[in-house]
Amino acid sequence: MKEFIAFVKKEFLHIFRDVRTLLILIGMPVVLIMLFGFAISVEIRNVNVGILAPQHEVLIDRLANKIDASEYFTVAKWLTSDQEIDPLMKQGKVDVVLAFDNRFASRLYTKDGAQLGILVDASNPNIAASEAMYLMGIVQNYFQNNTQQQIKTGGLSTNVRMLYNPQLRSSYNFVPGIMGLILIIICALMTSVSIVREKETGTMEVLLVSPIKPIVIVFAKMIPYFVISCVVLLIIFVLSFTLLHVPMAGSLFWIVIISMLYVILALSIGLFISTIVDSQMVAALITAVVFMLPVLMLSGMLFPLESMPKFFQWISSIVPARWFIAAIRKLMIEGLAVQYVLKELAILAGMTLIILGVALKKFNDRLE
Amino acid sequence: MENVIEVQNLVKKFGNFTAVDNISFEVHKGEIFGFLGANGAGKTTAMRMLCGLSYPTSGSGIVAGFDIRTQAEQVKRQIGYMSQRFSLYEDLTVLDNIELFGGIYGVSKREIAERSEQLLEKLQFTSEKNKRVKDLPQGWKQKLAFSVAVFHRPQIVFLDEPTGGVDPTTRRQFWEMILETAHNGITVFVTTHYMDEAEYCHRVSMMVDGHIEALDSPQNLKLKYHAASMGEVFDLIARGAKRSD
Amino acid sequence: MAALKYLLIKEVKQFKANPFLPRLAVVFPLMVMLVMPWIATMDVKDVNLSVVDQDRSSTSEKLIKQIEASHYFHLKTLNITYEEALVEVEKGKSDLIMQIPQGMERDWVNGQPVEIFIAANAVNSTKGSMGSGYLNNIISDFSTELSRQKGEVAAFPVKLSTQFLYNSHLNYRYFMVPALLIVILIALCGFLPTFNIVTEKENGTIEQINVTPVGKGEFIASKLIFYGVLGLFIFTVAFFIGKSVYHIAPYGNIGVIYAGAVLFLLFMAAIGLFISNFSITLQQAVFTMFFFMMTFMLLSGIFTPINSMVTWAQYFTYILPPRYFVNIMRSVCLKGSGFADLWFDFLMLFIFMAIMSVIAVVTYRKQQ
Repeated sequence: MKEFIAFVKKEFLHIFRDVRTLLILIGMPVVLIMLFGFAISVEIRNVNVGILAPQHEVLIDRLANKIDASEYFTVAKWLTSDQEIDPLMKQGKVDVVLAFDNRFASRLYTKDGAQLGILVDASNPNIAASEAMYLMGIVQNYFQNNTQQQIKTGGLSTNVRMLYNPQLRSSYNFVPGIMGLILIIICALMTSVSIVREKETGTMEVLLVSPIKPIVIVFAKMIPYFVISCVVLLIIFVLSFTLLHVPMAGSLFWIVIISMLYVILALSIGLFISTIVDSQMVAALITAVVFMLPVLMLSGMLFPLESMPKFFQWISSIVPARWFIAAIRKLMIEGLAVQYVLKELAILAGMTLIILGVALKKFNDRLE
Repeated sequence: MENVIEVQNLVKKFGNFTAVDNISFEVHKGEIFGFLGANGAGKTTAMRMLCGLSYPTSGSGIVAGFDIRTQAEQVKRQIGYMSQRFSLYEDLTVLDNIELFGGIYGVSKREIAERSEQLLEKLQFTSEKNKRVKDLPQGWKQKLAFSVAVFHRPQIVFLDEPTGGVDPTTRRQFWEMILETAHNGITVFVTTHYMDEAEYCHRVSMMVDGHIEALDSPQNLKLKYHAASMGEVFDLIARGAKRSD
Repeated sequence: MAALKYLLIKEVKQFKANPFLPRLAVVFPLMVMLVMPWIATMDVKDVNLSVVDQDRSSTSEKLIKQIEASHYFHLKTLNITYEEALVEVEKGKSDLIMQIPQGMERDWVNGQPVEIFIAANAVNSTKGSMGSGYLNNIISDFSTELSRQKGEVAAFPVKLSTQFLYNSHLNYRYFMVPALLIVILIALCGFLPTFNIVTEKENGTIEQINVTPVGKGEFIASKLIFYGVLGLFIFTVAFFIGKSVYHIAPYGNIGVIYAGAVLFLLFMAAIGLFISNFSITLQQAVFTMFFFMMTFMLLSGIFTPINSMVTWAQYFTYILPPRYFVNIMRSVCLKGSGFADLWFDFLMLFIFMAIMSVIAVVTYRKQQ
């Protein structure tokens, strides 16, 4: 035990001596969570609308004002010919064009009806669909209000409520994702690179010939990183709660337990990687490049799992971040009780045991 | 006698720590100049300043006619350097390394081919020329590093602990190579902490805690300190040393 | 300049001699391009809908039939109470709840307005808003149709038509694949040069170079050129897969894409070398580059639109060079934009590339 404490002390000293790395370790999550928490969003905003009106008409002006007044759209250009649409879209100056019929107002309430085209730059299909939907909504709403004043009519309307996230803030969705990403990459990167570094410089050999058991050495290396990770975790929680106003709807106790479990899992992955590679560069490339992509893409952070082909949904179940993010979303945002995340908890615990077990076994095998 | 290195009041500080504390000396053309001292005495730092790798905190130095402060790049054209740590590209082959450094110093392609063939033959490396450097034994690596350092026929070659970690036989062979180099007119500036190697040098300086405590030929130093060997001379001089590993 | 040739040969030989890097440079783009486009989809489909029908009339039945026919929604559960439906949402089995009020048919026949209540799980805000939006549209169509059958004047006098330009089938892959190419470039072509100089520092070989008269410019140029060419190779492989497997068709000139790629690759190599210059250990370099990589990937509009960010974050993206290349890639591939349309992006990319290259040379120190 005395040796163990001495070892942990040595590792701490090691880390604290490299002030810059320490600053990056603590500072990076702060900056990333702030940046992404505020910035990443898929709500549509600042859509530039072009109005194609062959003649100047009061009705069109009014409708344009209505569109401009909405939080999503800005009327950016007035066009007179459809020849102008393509160049403007190619330069990215307008995203949507509302194309009015010739003598629009006078054609309303006629047999053929007045034609109104919504032309959307559909490069980004989802945004395009939303833009078209919102724009249609505004136009429909405008005419319905106008018409209902003239003719009394019934009809169906809807009342929509957004559960758990009434203002449709993307940060609610992304914060657990970013936590999952940052924690796993940083923890795995820290452990794998620092252990392989000792291999490269030969100091690992020196440690291993000492009378201390290898397992003690491994844990001594992991404890400081575990502590740093917990500090990072704490910072992320405080920032999410105070600045990003992400709710802590569920039990804080279980959120912390799951997060710590996830950190241990990430550290184990780092240890595992360090046992299979011999150079720092390869360790870093595997963790930061090869490993990062599945975490980013297959965890449900950016892309909804249910939209993927079944095969990839199945593959995604071996990505630890997927389960962590699912659990944190349920606990933090939906405020569900712990029995709803038992499955995630069990899978994460199972993964930790398996990876840690394999890593320790490989570590011991190498010695013999 | 012509001087190829002239150093005056050279100082290098790292924060509060003064690694090299006000040293002055000259090195004559064609001599083997030994730079002796315990680990941490400041030998490597002083040498790095002379090679243009490290900028002096104060003082001046002229190497091969160029100022180490303002003309470091010109200095580099005139010198060869073998660092304490083996620093050729281990993932490249013997021949790759020779061609690379020959090319960097502007040796022509034909010259590189000719000289490398002679060199490999002399070192009896010909069969190993396409072997990766990392697969060579330590002694061979050191010999290769030395050969690369003098491949472009510099005026001066700086050797930092060239025989560290090498067995006695190879060490003797190594010194034969150094003597031959000096014989060909290249000035040799060598640091070492093996005191027996000092006997090979024309003149030696003894460095203790960043100062030069003695500078003379091995003969004269032994006479002055009434010692039988350079080892004893060093023990006498270094008695008051504070720094050591 | 003769030294440049030798330095380049050295970079190539070192790369080839590495047991891991050449494989990574081939396998990584292949993997990403063959796998990721299937995952990177934000198509909102298979939305699970729970219907709480309190009316149980023929009209409500018709509405439900119409929703079913849209093939957009999976009708999960019928004939349950709102509370039961909410439990389904909490379990993640249902995304939307639609509640048809008691007496809908009667009120509608009497010309009274009827309100249908929709509750959406908005934790995933895209799914929440898109799902409820589509449902809203279906209900609105249904209402218009009902009025027409009743012989009333339709509340809506305009014939709306929506046209999706440049990506008429709203194929998310056409949007995502050009950006995935950039993900590959950021990950590989950013990290490889980052490791380069710092590895030379850790191995001590940098000493042997620094003591030669080789110029700083030549030394950095040899690395920039090497990584630029390597990047172009990787880019070409990935682009070829994108073209043959996913039919991303560059409507515009392929030369425009390559011009952008060259500028971008040189920028990435330069920033990697710059970080490498400043790092003493590989660990420092990795963490610093990881920070840049995350920022580049998540804030350049690759996954989430720049327009959706809060305003200050949108300004921030102007200092992220990948932003310009992402825009170039997508504009050329989808819209067929040319140099004239994209001059601003090219200018900014060039400026960043030039500045960063100069910084990479200046910050490289031959003398400490």
